[in-house]
Amino acid sequence: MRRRVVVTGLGTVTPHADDVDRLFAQLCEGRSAVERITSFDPVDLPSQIAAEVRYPVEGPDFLGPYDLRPRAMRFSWAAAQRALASAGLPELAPDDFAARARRAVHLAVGVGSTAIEALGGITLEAWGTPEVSTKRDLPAFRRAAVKHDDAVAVLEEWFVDQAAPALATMLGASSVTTAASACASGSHAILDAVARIRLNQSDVVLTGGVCTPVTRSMMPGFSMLSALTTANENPAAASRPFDMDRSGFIMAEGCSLLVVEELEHALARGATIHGEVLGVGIATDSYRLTDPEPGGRGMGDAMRRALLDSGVPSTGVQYINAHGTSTKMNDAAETKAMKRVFGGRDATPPVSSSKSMFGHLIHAAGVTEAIVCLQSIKHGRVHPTINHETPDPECDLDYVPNVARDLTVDVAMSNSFGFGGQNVSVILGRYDGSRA
Amino acid sequence: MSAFADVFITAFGAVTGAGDEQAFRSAWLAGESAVRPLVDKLEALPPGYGAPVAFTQKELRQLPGGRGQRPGTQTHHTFLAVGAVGRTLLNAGMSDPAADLEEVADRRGVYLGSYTNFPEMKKHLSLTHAMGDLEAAARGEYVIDDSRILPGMKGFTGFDFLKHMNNMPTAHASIMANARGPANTFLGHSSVGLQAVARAWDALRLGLADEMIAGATGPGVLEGLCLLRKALGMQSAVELDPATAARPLDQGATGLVPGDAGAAFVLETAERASATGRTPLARLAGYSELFVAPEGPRGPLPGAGPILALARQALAEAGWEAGDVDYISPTGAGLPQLDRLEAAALAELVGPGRPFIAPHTGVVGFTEGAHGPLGLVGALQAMQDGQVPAALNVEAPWEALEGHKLGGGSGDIRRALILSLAPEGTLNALAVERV
Repeated sequence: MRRRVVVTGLGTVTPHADDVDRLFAQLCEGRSAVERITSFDPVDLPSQIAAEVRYPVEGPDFLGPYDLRPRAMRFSWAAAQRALASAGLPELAPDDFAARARRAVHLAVGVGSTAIEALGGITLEAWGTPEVSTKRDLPAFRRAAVKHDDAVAVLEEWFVDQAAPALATMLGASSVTTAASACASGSHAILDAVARIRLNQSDVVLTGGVCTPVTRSMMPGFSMLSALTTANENPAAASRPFDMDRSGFIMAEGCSLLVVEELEHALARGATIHGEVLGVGIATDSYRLTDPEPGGRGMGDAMRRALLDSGVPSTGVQYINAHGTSTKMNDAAETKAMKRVFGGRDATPPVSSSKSMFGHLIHAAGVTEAIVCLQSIKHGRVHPTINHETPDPECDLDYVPNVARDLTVDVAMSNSFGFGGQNVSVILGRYDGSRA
Repeated sequence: MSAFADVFITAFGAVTGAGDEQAFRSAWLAGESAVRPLVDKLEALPPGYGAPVAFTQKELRQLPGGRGQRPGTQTHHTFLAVGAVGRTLLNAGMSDPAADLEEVADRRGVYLGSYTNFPEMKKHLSLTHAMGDLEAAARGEYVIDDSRILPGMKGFTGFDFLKHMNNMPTAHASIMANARGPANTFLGHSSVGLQAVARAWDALRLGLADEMIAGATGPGVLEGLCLLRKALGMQSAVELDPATAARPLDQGATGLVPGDAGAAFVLETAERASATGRTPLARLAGYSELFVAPEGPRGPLPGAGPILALARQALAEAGWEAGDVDYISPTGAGLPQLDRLEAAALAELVGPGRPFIAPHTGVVGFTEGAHGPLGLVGALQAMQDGQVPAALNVEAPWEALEGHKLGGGSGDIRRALILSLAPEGTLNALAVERV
C-alpha cells in the first residue's frame, strides 16, 4: 500500500505577512502587496514595482557555520522556524543517527543575490572608472581579485548551496537536496518530498522554496524578456491575471516551507494535520525556453497526471489555485489546459490567482500557493483574483473576480509552470482518516 | 526497495578536459593528465592551470538534437550539460529524438545535477562596474548609482539573465532529448551529480517515466568558482607543474585543481530496455546520501565516520558486503583534509588487497557536480574492458591506503561503488552491478 503524505507544518515569509493566517486573511480582503521598489531606486527601469518583504525579519546572524545575513538565508531561517514550530517535531539528539536518517530537507532556491556588488571596488581597481573604461578584460579583473580574498569570499552568497544545509541543521536531517525548475520549483519541491516519503526514504521532509529576485540586475533582466509588467503608475492594479489588460507579472520575494510527513508517523506523535498531499503530476513542454506551449499541452499533462496520481476524479476538485502569472501567454494557455482537463468551461471549478496580490514568488511560488490551498480547505473560503475587470475571451473561466467567496473545499489543485517548460501540479485535500 | 523493478544503465556519454568519454578513457589508460596552463580567455584565472573542456559548439551541433542549440542562450554549465546529453543520446542510438512518438517522449525525463548556474560572471561584473557612481569612482570608492543601472545594461539581452536560471541545463537538455516527462535540476555541492542519478532512479521506481537521462554538469574552470575557491583557501597551489598538480589521495596534494566536465546516462526500466533493444550495461544496486554539518561552511568534515557510514549504507541497500566490491571510484578531490578522511574510511571499509581504488581527478581535475557521474563512467568502462587504469599522480598515498590497489591492473569488474564527497558536508554513494 502506498505511504500517505500529510502536511503537519507551515511556515512563510511573504510580502503580506510572516504568518499563514494573516497572509490568507489579507488575500481574502483582496489586498495587494505590490508597491514601488524600496530596496534600491528603480529610476528609469522599465518595471519599477514589486512585492517586497518590507517588514523586519528578525533572526541570528549565524547558525553554526552558516551566515544568515543574506536575505535568502534570513528568509529561509525564519520560515523554517515557523514551520518547525507549527509541526511541533521533537528535537533529535546529535547522535540519534537512526532518527536523523529519516528526516530530509528539500529546498528550491532561486535567483537573486546582490553579492556581486561587493566586487564593485575590485572592478574599479581593474578597469578604472566606468567613464573612461571601455574595455573590461577579465584577466585584469582576476589579477586584482586574487589580492582581495575577503571581498571575493562574499561571493559565497551568490551560490545557492548554503540554505538547505542550514535548514538541515535546524531539522536534524541527514539528507539535503537543493533543486530548481524555475517558477515550478516550489511545487516541484513538494513533489520530490512526496517521492521520498512514498519510497520510504524519509518520514519527515522540510520542503519549499526561497527566492529574492528584486535586485538591480534581475529586475531589468526579466524586463528584457518581456516578462514583467511596466504598469508602474498604479502598483496595486498592475498584476491582472486572466484580465484582458494583463501585461506581465510582478516580481516578488519570500520563502515558504511545509513540513510533510508520512501519515502514520504523524498520527503516532499526535501531530496536527493541516491537509494531505493526494497527488502530484509533472510534465515538460520540451518546446521553448521562454514560452509555454501555446495549447497548454505540458500544463494539461501535469494536471492530468496529478489527478491520476491522486485517484480523485476531476469532478472531485472544488478549487484551483492557478499559476496565473498575468502574462498574455501563460494565462491563455493555462485556461485552455484547465478546460481540457476538467471537461470544459462549466465543468472547471473556481480558479483564482494569488499572484494578483503577491506577485510571482518564483521559486517560492508553488509552495506558498499550496499553503493558500490548505487555508482554503481550512477556512471554507477562496480568495479572489483581483484586478479582474475586463474579460478576455480567451480566459473565460470563473476566476473568483475581485471578491472572496465562501466555498467548501475538500480538494484543491495548485498549478506551477516554469520558464523552460517545466510544469507541476499538486492536489491537496482535507485529511480524511477514513480514506484508504 | 525490492518491491521495485530493476533499473538499468544502458548508455553513457561525457565531455571532459581530455575529450569525450572515449578520450577520457584513453588518456587515463595512458597516464596522461588533461590539466594544462590556463591561457587566452582563461588567462590569470587562479590557480593558473586546470582542465578546461575541449568540446566545441561545432561538435555539439553534430550530436543528436544538437542543431537547435545556440551558444548565446547557454552558460558554460548548460553547454557541458547538453554536450554530455548529446554524447549519451548518440551512444544510445537515439539519433533523432524529436522524431520519437509522443507516447515515448511523454515517458522520457531529464534530471541533471549542476553546481548552480551562476559563476560565469562577465556580464554581471560589467554591470556592477557600470553602476559605479562617477564622483565616488574619481575618489577611488565604489558606490552604486542606481541611475546608471539601465545605461549599464547596454548590450545585454534577456538571455543574459534567463540563461543563468538554475534550471536551464535541464531545460535545454529536455528540448534536445524531446523529453516530456519529469525534468529537474539538482543544485548544490559537488556531490550533486550522483544525487541527480539517484533521483532519476526514484522517478523510474515511482513510475513517473520509463526512461530517464540523468547526470551532471560541472564546469570547474569558471570565474566565480575559481575565485571563490581561491579566496576560501581550497584551491591547489600556484606554480605547480600542471600535469602533476591534481593528486588524488596523495599526501602531496595542495587543493582542488579545477576541471570541466559533463556526464550523463540513460537509465531505463527492464521493460523499456527490452522494447528499445538497448543492452543493459549495469544495474543500479544501491544508493545512500548523508549530510553532516562541517565545522565551517566549506569544511572540514568532523571525521571519517560519516564517510564510512555512507559507504556501508549504499552497500547494505545493494545487499552486498564490502568484500563483494571489485572497484571503488573515490572522490580524491585533492583537498588534503578531505582526502585524508576518505583514505581512512576506505581503509576501514575494505582493507588492503582488494578492491581496486580508482580515482580519476589526476586526469581531468575536480569537475564539481560532474565528478560523481564521471566516476561512474570510469566504473562502467572498467566493467566493459576489465582494465583499471593507474591512479595518476599518486606517489605518496595517505598512510591508511598503504597496500591498497590504487588502480593499475585488470580483472573481472562486476560490482562498483562510486563515492562523491563534497567538502561542504553532502556525501553521496552509488553501487552498480554489471549485467
